[in-house]
Amino acid sequence: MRLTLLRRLAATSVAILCLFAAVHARASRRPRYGGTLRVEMGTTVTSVDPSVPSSSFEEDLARDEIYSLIYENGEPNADSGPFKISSWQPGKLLTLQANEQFREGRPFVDAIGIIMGRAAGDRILDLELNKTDLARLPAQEARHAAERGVRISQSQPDELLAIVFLEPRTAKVVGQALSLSIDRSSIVNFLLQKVGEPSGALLPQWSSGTSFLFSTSADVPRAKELWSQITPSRHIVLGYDSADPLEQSVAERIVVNAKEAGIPLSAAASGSNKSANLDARLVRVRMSETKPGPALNSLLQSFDSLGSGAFKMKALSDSASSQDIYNREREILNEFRIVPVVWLPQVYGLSVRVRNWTTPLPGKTWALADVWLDTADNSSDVKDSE
Amino acid sequence: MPKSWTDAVAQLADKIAASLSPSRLTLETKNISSLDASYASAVELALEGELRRHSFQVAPAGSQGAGPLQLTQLQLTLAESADAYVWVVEIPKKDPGEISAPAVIVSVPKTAMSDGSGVPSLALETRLVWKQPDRFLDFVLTSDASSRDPRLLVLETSQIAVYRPSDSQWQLVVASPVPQNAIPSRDPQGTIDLKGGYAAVAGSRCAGESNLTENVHCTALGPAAMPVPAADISSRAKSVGTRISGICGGESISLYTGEGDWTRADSIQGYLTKTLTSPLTPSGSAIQFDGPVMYVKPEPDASAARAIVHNLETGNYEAYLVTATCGH
Repeated sequence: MRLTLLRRLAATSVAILCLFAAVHARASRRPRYGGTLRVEMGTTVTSVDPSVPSSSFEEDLARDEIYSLIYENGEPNADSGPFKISSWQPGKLLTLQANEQFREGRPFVDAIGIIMGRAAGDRILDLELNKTDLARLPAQEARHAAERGVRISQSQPDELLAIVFLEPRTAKVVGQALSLSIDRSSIVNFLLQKVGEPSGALLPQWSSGTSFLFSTSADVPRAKELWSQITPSRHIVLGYDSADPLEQSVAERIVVNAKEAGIPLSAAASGSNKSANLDARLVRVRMSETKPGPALNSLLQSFDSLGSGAFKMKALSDSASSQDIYNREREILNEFRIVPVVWLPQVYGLSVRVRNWTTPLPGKTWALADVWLDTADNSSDVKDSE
Repeated sequence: MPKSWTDAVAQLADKIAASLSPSRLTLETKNISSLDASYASAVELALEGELRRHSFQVAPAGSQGAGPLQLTQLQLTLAESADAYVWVVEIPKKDPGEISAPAVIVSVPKTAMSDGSGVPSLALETRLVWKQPDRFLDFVLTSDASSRDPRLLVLETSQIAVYRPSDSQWQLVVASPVPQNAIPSRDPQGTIDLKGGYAAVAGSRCAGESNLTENVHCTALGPAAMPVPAADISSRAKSVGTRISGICGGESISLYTGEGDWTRADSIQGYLTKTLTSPLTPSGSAIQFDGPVMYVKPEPDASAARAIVHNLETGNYEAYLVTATCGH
C-alpha cells in the first residue's frame, strides 16, 4: 500500500515536471519539434546516387544540397546525416524523414518533402498560396515576389555575373572598351529590380572591403576612343546560357550599351559549354568562401574550370593581407580577360511558419536540421503534406 | 584606440610616406564601415598625427593650394571586409593615363565595441566571462571551498569543466564527463545549482565537492531527473528570460531577450513589475548582442543573470554576467 502511494507520488511529480516543462516551452521561444517542411526547387534531380554523374551544373548544386541533408558533411555514408530518404520519385519528389539517431541531435521537423522541376513562377505562386515553405527564387524575381506578400530571405551578394574573354589577345583593349561601355547601374535597377549591386571588382564589398576602389561607372567617350584604336575593327560575339533568362537579358542590354560606344557586339545563345565561335561568354560564378583571400582563390579556380585557364597561377596564400588581395585583383582585372558586371544575392521565399532559417553563407548548404515550424502562427491552418 | 589600431595607422602612414614625398596635403575621410563616428574620427586624428611625424604638413580638409604650395589630396576610406576593418588611402595618380589611382591598405581584426550605457531607472551592464566554440548550457563563477581561489564551471552536454585563473586567462583544471543519452537533443537544457550542490543536464545529474570543483561525478538518471527551471509566465511569450533578485522603485526586476529566432542579433531588456501577474514595463536601455541569447538564468543572491549568447559573427558561444542596477 505504502509502495503504491510512493509510486503514485513519483508519477505525480513526473507529471508536474512535464507540465512545468510544457508551460516553460510555451513561455519561451524554444523551437518546436514536428511537422513537414515543404520545399520546392527548379532543378530536376534524376538520381541521388553519388556514383551517378549529374547531367548539369545546376543538378550538381541541387544534389549537393540533398547530400548535405542525408550525409554528414556531404560525404556519402549511410544514415549519417540529419535526414533519411523515405521515398524517392526520380526527378519529381524526394521525401526525407528525420534521423532520430543523428549525431548532432534529431532535426526539429519530422520530414521534408522536396518537389523538383517547379518553374520560378509556380514556386512564387505556391509561396503566395502557402502551398510550400521554402523555395529558391531567381534574384530578379525577389522584388516582384515581395510585392505579392512572399516572405523573402536574401543573402549577401555572393554570385558574380561577369564577362570572360576566351582569347587573352582580344581581351586587353576590347575588354577595356566593353567594360567602360556597360551601364551596370541600369542592369541592377531595371533588369534586377534593384536586387544585387554593380561590380567592377572580383570580390564583393562585404567580403574584401575594397571593391569601392574599382569603378563601376560607364565612360562611353573613353570606350569609343579605345575602340577607335583597334584596327582592323572586328565583330565581337558574346555568348550566354540559353537556359538562363537573366543571362539573356543582361547580354542583350550589354549589346545595346556596346553599340552606343560604337562596339559591334552581338549576343548568341549557347549551351553551358564553351563554343568555338564565341569571343567572350557571360558567366555566373559563386563564391565558396567568405574571407577575401580564400574567396578570391576559389573564384579564380571557378574561372579556370570554365575554360578560361591560367588563373589558378595567380592564387594567393590564405593569409594574404588586404593590400595583397587588392593588388592581385587589380592585376587580374587590368588584363580585362574578366569583366565583372554585377553581384547577385541568393534569394529564398519562405512561408510564415518557417523559423531558424539562415540563408547559406558562401560554400555552405541548407541548414534544415535547425529549421522548425511555428504552427502557432497565423498559418496554423496550413496542412502538412504528410 | 586599441594598440592594434594604433599599429595599423602607423603602418598606413609608413605606406603613404613610401609613395609620396613630404608635402602639404589634405585628408578627406569617408566612413563606410560599421564603426561609429567617434572611432572614425579617432582613426583620422591618429593618421594625421602619424603623417606629421613623417614630415607631412596636414592642412585642414577643404583647403586650396596653388603653385609651389600645391596640396596633395588624400582620401581615407574606413571600410570593412568579412573579417576585418579595412582602411584605405587613395593617392592621386601621377600619370593621368593610369587605369586607377594607387591605394594603400591596412586591416585590423574586428573588435567587439560594446557600450553598456543606460541612463533611465534600470541600467544593465554586461561582463564577458567566457567564450568557446562549442555550445554550453550554463556557467558559474565560484571559488574553491578550501583555498577560496576563483573557479569557473562550464556545463556542456558532454562534460562539466572546471577552470582556474592563470595569467589573466582561465585554464582548464579538470573536465568530468556527463553520460550521454542515446539520442541527443538539438535544444539541450542544463543548469548548475551550487546551492543545491548539483548540476543537471539532459537526464544526468552531477554532484561533487568544494562547490562542484572537485571529485565531480555524473550519473544518468533518465529524462525525468532533469530539473526544470522555474517558468516565468508572462506576456513575453517569444522571449527567453527570468526574474532576478532585487527591487527597483518597489518593483521586481526581470530580464528578457528579444523575440527573434536563433539567426538574428539579440538584446536583453530590463523590465519592472509590481506583482507576478502585473504587466512588465520596460525600464532603461536594452543591451545588444551579436547573436541570439540562448539562455538567461538568475544569479543567486544578486541582481544579475547569467546569459549565454551565440555570437553569429565569431561563431563562439559567450557567457555574460548581466547586472541590473537601479538608478534615478
